[in-house]
Amino acid sequence: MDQIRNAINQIYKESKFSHKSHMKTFRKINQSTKRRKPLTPIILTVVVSGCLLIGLYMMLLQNDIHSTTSTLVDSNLYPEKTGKVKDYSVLTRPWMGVGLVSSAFLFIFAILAFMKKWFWRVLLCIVIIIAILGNMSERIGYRVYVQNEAEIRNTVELGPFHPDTVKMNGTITIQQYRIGYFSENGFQGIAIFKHDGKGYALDQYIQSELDTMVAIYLKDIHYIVIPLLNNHNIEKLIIDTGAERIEKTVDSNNAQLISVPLKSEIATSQLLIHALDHEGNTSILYNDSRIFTY
Amino acid sequence: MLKEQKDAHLTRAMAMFGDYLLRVCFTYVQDWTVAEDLVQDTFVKYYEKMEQFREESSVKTYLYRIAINNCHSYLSSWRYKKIQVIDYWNKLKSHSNNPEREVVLGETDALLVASIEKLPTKYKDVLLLFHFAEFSLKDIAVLLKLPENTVKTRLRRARQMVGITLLEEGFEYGSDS
Repeated sequence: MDQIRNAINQIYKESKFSHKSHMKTFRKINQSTKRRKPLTPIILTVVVSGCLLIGLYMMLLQNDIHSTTSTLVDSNLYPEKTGKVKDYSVLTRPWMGVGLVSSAFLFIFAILAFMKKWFWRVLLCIVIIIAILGNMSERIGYRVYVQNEAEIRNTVELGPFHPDTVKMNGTITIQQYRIGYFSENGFQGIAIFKHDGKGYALDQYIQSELDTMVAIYLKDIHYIVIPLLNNHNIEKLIIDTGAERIEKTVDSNNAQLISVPLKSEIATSQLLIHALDHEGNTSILYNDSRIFTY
Repeated sequence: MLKEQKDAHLTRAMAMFGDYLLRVCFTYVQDWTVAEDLVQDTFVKYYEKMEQFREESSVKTYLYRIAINNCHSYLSSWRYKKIQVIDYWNKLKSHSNNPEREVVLGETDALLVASIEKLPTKYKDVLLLFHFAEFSLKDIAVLLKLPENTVKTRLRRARQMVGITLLEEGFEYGSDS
């Protein structure tokens, strides 16, 4: 006899598959014929999967509700669009990528588990997938397109500003940029909308407390946009870029946006914006630390 | 097939293979109660699929395959891992060895069996099927769904590992013949 077989038989000679074990086997066979298949995980899996599918469908449907038709204006260069659409660009962020990959792996595992009839694991996978996708869908925001001042105001009201007290000071459109300037109880805000090929979409939001604001330097189109506060006494603005000096007359003392085209790209460190008041006094209105390069 | 016939077939299979399957399962799980459970489950599965078997050799192959699969499933189960953790914790707490085990290990056969028990599962599979269950290499390849050459390699390594383990404990065995 083989030495290994002999050794195992010798060492385990006391161990027998006893008559009691025979009886237990028959009992198990009788139980298995009577036993009902566990329905709970199957039912739960079906219900939860249904919820997942409905949730995804609703998410897509929501997208359809908010997308609106785009309308072309005279200029084919910058077509106008209004309304808000889901902004999926957030999915390109690293953690979102991780979430998507994890969901894909879990989905594959859920299929595998389903094939192997591990229904509790299927259920667990689906719950985790729902949690991940739910969390991700919460982070998918809207891309807001504006066509006019009223729509800019509506967009601003989506933020922390109260619709009854927010005051639009002015809007300005320079090529692919549309800028809205507004204030509310000592707070100033500037919303920058950039053309994305479909329309002017909200891209940047600058808020300032108290009676201050920042000037915006639009680097790619060589423009500087200067916000003036309400009840100012400025008669003229002097923009000193180091290479050139531009003067711009201010025709009212209301809060407003003033755009100044520049000849070429400048270094903001050399940029100084002076204000000349009614009495002929000059003061520095914006220095390089208060100029936002966009 | 009538129920009485099935019962008779099962009783015969349990009498023929029950003890061997129990010993094989024990080498994997190291617990007689669990091993008995696994063997019972093996026979339950066999009972459910009994109509498919015509020859006794296929019954033996099937029973060993199911028993080994059951052992693998048990070893990868949460239940087993939990027991392992508890055992490890108890060992840490008591710092004592099992005296009964030490007495048994004093015997030559016990040394051999102990070294088989320590083998990694994939080597244990081929070693037990070849030497204990007396399957051919070809049958083992079919049973484990592995290429025959892999089975040969694993068997050779398993023998070497058993030999090495025994040599470490002062016992020469495990030539590659």
